[in-house]
Amino acid sequence: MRMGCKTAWVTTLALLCGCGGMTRFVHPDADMPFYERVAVIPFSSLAQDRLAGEKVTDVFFSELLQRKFDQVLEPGQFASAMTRVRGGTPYANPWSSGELTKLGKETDVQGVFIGTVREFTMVQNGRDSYPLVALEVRFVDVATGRLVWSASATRHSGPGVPFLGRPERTIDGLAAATCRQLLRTLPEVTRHAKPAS
Amino acid sequence: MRNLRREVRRAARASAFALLACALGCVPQPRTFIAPEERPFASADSSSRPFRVALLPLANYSPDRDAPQRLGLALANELARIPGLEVVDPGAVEDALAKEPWLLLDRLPPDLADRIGAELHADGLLQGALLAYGGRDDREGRTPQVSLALRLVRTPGSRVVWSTVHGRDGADGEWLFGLGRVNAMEQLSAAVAHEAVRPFAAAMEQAQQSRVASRERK
Repeated sequence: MRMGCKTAWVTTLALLCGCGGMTRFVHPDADMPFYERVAVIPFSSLAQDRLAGEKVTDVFFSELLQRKFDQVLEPGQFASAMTRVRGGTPYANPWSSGELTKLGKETDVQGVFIGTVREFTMVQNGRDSYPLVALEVRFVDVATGRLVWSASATRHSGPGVPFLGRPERTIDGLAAATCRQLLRTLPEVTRHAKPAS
Repeated sequence: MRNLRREVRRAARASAFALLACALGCVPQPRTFIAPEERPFASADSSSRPFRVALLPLANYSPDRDAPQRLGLALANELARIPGLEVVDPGAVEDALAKEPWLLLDRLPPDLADRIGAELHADGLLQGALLAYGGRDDREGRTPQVSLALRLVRTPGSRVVWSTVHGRDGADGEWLFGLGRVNAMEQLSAAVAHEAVRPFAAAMEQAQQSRVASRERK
């Protein structure tokens, strides 16, 4: 009995290791199949690493391709459209709904992902260091400027249990896992086949 | 009874081997996307000529200034080994880029990408960024880490047909008393380049086989 209790504790600890807080919001009228062409605005960074936004954007883009959107606009293509709409204003500055509408018309996208990297660092744990990542991502309808979905998560890694799982040691690996975790909360994009006329 | 004991011993030995094999092979795998199109890696004129790819210099998000060149070489080596793929000469890529005053190589505007693609007679541009090239402190001293993001963009059209993100830590393959640990940065870079390109190589090989099969059928 005592042995069983111990096993349960160890399993619970192993499961909890690496998990962090997470929140999400989905607009009650969200119609995800409507969004066929989407794009990612480079994430802003509040972390010490000023390049964290760029790094996580690349990782997020790659993860987003695995979702069932018809097209995720290529970052270079979208960046040139952003420059046309905004001129010299940095992408990381907040976007007004007017600018988003203009961007939507320019690129023919229906929705954009906007994100903020709050933490992106290695934390010392004993003699080892492990990554810590905190992200917040929003999906905005460009025509109306309405927030369709938002989610945020904080994840950190730590020493794993030998033979029972490998801890995530690279910060980009943890960022990818966090992006996946966030995207899993996005409502299903699957479109139903149109009836033959 | 003796038989049962023998069976138990055999099962224990098999489990130990399985556990060791898992521990040995348990390194992170790249996250890869391959476009679900019918022939994502067919050459532009759909002829039997190889798919031509220009590898652009990687954008550098690491503090090491020379890192993109080092990893670029490893990537070029891996790409050159893929059957049915032709890598554009790096010198020609450099010449083409020198004519265009653009610094953000992982964010090429579509018109510029098309121009470069046309000049190099390339079917795709391989762009990407080096996300990490350094190390972290741990009980063994300094353990190397390498991460990169790559995407293959078709030209003309700027459509992403392959994308991958891959990162490794020197201690990822360690399973007991430092065995399987990688301490050399060059060795880890080569492993990352090899593992990142592997799914693309497999997809290219599959495309090549189906092309040969369809030619034989004709």
